[in-house]
Amino acid sequence: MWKFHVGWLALALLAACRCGGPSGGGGTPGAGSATSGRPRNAVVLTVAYGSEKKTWLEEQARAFEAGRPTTKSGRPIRVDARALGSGEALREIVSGRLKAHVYSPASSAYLPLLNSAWTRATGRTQPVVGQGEPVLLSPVVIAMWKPMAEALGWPDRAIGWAELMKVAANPRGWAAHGHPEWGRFKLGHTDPERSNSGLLSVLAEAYAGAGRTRGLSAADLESPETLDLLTRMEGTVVHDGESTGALADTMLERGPGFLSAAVLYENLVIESYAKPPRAPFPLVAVYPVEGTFWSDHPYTTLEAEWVGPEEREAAEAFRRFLVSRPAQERALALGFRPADPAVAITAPVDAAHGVDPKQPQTLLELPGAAVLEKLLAVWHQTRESTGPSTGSRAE
Amino acid sequence: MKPKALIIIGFLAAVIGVLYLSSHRNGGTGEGGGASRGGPRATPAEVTEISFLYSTEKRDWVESAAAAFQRENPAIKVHLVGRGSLEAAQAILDGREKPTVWSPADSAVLRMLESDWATEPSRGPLFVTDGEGAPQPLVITPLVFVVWEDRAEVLQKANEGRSVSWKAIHKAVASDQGWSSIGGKPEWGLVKLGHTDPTRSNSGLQALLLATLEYYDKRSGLTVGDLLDPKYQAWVTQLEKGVTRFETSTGTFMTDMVRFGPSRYDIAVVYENLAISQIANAQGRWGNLKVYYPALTLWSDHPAAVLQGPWVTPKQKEAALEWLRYLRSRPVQERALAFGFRPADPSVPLKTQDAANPFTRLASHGIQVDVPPAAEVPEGPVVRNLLTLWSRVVAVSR
Repeated sequence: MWKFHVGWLALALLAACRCGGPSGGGGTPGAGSATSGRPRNAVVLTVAYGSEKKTWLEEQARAFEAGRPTTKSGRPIRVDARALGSGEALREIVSGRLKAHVYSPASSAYLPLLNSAWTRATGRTQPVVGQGEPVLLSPVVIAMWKPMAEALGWPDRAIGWAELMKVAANPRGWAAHGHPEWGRFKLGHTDPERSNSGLLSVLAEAYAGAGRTRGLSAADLESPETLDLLTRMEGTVVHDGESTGALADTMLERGPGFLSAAVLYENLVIESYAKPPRAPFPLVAVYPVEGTFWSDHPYTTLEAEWVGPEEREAAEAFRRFLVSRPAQERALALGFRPADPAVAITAPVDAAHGVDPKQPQTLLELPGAAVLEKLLAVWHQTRESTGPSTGSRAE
Repeated sequence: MKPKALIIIGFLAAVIGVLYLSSHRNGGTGEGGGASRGGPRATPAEVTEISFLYSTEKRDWVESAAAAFQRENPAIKVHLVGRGSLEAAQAILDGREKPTVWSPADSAVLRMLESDWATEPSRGPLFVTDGEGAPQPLVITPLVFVVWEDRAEVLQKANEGRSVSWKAIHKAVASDQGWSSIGGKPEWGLVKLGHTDPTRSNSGLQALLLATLEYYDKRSGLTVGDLLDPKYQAWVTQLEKGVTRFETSTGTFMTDMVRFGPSRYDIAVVYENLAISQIANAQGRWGNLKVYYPALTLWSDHPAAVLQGPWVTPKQKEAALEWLRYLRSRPVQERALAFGFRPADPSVPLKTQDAANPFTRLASHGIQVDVPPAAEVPEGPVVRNLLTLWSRVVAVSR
């Protein structure tokens, strides 16, 4: 008898809870909205995103939830944001370990890569993501210590990938530029298999090797010139940090003795000005003359069986929130360039923070999935012949 | 005994709660999502719902007009559905969209759907040929070049001081030395031209037509023979080498020009209204963006028509006509100016005393009241051949 009552009570409360959500008519938050934890009837939106925008995205997710968003049916929306390296997120989605509803890597380069890996792994013909819409922008730059950039002619003279690669390959190092006290020129980038900026760095090296700025083909990657340059460069480059943010932190912590320059995002150069100055010099952004890439943070909703109409609706609501004026202005304050063209670019995207808002003036073209996959295969090949260079971290 | 009684009371309270909430919920949905805030006044029987399927280039003007129309006409609920013109035409043909009123960007798309629809005679004509419900323009806008000022100066110098033209762009694009080959800065890289995919977007098709007409120095009378000339084909292939990606929506494309600046596009071919709407944004990001009118242009006339489909009831037709009358009314036509459109009503002047009027305010950015002559759109088979040619010689090599 006792057990019977408890069972019925539980059922009745469960039913009341289920009715409670939709009864709000969309205007007021559902009766089930929890002040602690997640309401049981919540639509939980899993967002797998590139960790480069962690501070901004986590803040925005909390602000979005604070507005008590609901679906049309009245179910509260909650965001489960997962910060991952863009490549890592791709692998988690394809393996089925992460059933994300939204994928927002650091760069559009990952969208064809995800589609290609997805169709191969699942045998499906339809892509799992579309083109997406950018939510933030930041160009890929070569971050250098200011006096070092000046020694190379910055800011009056444009500096390019090919030139820096020559400087890096020169055994005389900085002595060739009148600064023997700085030792060798050491360039760093992240692991191209795990991080977007690492992938784009190797791509820029391949372009320099092929002597092109667009239309890089798989055949170009196999040419002796490209292979030679990649092998030489990757033999000297310092690969460090699980993410671009981590590489920037290490560079700032360990100073010019560790790295002369690193391939980072512009927002990380800006961010370095807000950190306690441990290094002897400030960082500045060099926009390579041959062109660079944008980290354009596309936001895409997956076309997968676990993404139902309500998750799709929640994904669109969160996207709208991310591109709304307050979220975009906050992005600017953090050093990103807003995706909303109506938000003017002002401080801190300025010379006082080591960057130039009128750059970049030209781009290197992003190739399709086949060329990017080939690039990673060639990179592996060069690494096997030269051995890992992360050891240079200990220098 | 005491806790047991409490549980029984709790149980009864929960059951009452469930019953109350479910009856309350039924009552809530029974109001049918009425548009009106008029409470008891807005019963479903009094509200006529219509759908307006329209091309997204005019979204801001349409949304602003619809909001004002709703306030003045609570008995009509207008559902706005924004779609690219070619996509919308296909959706109507396939039965995926059943709008009350359709307004694509251009009459050419409307005529194309009309003829595709007529291939199934049992359906009857989709549009009436006269009266208020027949296709008539709402607003008009010409196709223009939009160029970053520093790049435009170099282009004009290279073209002996004349305005920006397709031939001057071709000359700049064809060189592998990029901007430096015509006097621009080496760091500007290759010349980056932008227009949309002509097989999916009307502005891309218009751009391709205008370039072809200028190549032949023609204003009309383009033939299939012209398109088959290998010299022309080589010329157009070289021109299109300057376009690194063909976007499908003109609006997104123009937004990207301002987002990514000259790093992605030096020159874009877009509708005048989109250029107007982004000039101030561009200023806040990259600097001066200037508009240049090609020697020959094409107009987008944004026709709107009430559909003759069986899904449109007489009441909806009546409500749709009311909505169209509103869009064509003088105050709403005047308001189109602020959104960069030229009113379809020729009695509404372009030059006004209003300081916000872009047709006077943006003269320093190249906006002109007088527009060069319009080209004549060739016959259907010529257009189809042009698109096939483009797909074969340009798109296939991407």
